[in-house]
Amino acid sequence: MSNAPFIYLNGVSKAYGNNVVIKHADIMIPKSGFAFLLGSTGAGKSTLLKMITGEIKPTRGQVYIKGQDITKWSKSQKAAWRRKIGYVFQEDRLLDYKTVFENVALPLEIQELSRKKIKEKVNAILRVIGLGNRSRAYPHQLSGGERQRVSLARALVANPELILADEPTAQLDPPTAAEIFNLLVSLNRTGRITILMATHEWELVEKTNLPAYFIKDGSVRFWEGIR
Amino acid sequence: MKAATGLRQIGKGLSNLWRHKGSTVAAFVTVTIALVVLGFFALTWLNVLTLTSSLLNNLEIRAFLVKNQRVNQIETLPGITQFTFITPEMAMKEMTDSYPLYGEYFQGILTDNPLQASYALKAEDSQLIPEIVEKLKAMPEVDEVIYGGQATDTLLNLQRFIGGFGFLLFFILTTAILLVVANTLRLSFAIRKPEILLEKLLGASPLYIVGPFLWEGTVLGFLSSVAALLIILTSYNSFASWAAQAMPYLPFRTLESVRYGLITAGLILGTTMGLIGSIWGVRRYWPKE
Repeated sequence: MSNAPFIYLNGVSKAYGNNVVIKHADIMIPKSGFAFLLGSTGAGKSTLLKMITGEIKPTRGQVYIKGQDITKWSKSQKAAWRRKIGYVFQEDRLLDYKTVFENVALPLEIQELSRKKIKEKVNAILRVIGLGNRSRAYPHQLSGGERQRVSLARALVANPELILADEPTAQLDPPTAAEIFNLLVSLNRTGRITILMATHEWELVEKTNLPAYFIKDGSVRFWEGIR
Repeated sequence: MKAATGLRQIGKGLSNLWRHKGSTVAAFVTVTIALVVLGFFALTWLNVLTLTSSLLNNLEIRAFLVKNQRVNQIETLPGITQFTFITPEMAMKEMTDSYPLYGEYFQGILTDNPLQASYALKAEDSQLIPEIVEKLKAMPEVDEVIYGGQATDTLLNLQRFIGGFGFLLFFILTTAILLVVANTLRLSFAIRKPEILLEKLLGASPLYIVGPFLWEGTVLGFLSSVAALLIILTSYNSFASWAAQAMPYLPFRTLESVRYGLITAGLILGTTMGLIGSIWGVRRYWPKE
């Protein structure tokens, strides 16, 4: 299934007891594509992202990753898939007792890379992200923008096939938010990394020429962007 | 899992212990005390076993015979390690030797030696004594059997009681150790929860996640057993030196005779309990595939 979309959610729904979070969603993202997942807080954006990572199973429908149904994967297959994903969160989820270097190194440690390789890769990504001189700092010593850049460095360090960004700019001031967003777009265009970005900022979606999936009342609709 | 990852996990386990120092110290002290109590009980049990075995081994069965003749059946009785046939003359000599003041008097007034021939027997195992006595009593050549019956039963009962009590104490204390280690590990898990959730999201294997906790429990158990052994060996050294002078007639175990066994058993027990306790503590996160 080489022509299969990179990510394909086929008629998925999700309910927790009587609470239906997602009624129906069809989402298709090609390899190296960029898409927004737009919806208000609590609309179900994170639920859809968790279905893509395999953390939760849909109540109905299938989630295909490169043509394979993730709901049929074993735990170790799901873990292997997660190692190919880079995550950027709204609240950066940096570990306060680890330095910038150690935080960024975490995905590489999980992949059991050698100490030397980890050092090379982490220092390289920190230089790219503009934090080469902050590797020994602790998260509480960084500004909000710097923290989010560290989070982005952690997402990128293991050369991911997919970046899932969950409201990555929500807690940042407008210039820093724009900087982080531009960085994501440039990674998609130059690095050919597939990116799915959840956001509640309609203005951001409107400004860009990128497709988006809107979630409203549990239903998902596609918007192709300005062509 | 690669060696470098293993080393990293040991480092994480040690840093976990350091990060919640309070509960680490509390667990360390509790496990050490439990191991010290177990160690002292093991030494007491060993000494009681040595003492009772020594007493039982010196117990003699005396079988008095109807006629003054050797009985082949007694000499070939199973479970007997040593036998001495005592003629009436030898018995008389034994008695006069035992009572030197009256010896000549006895010989003067007695025209005939009234003493019976007998066998002095030693059993291979003190537990066999009652059975041997029953067999002897059943023989027509045997008139009467004398042995330390009451003493044998009491000593054997004492051995059994201490063995049973020791088993119960071992069960209670090892359960306590497991509970303490498991609870410490649960606390450690709770403290590290944000990191664990992140690791899971980043695709860490279950073994990668629980590995540091297993090391944490194992190191805790090992360190506690080292501390407990230091306390036990130092205290027992003082006791053994004192006992050798104060009660030289009692065969207490020397420090040298128990040292290596105690160190080996202590380290294995402490470390194993630490490992099992940590597995217990993180069992719900244990790899299922």
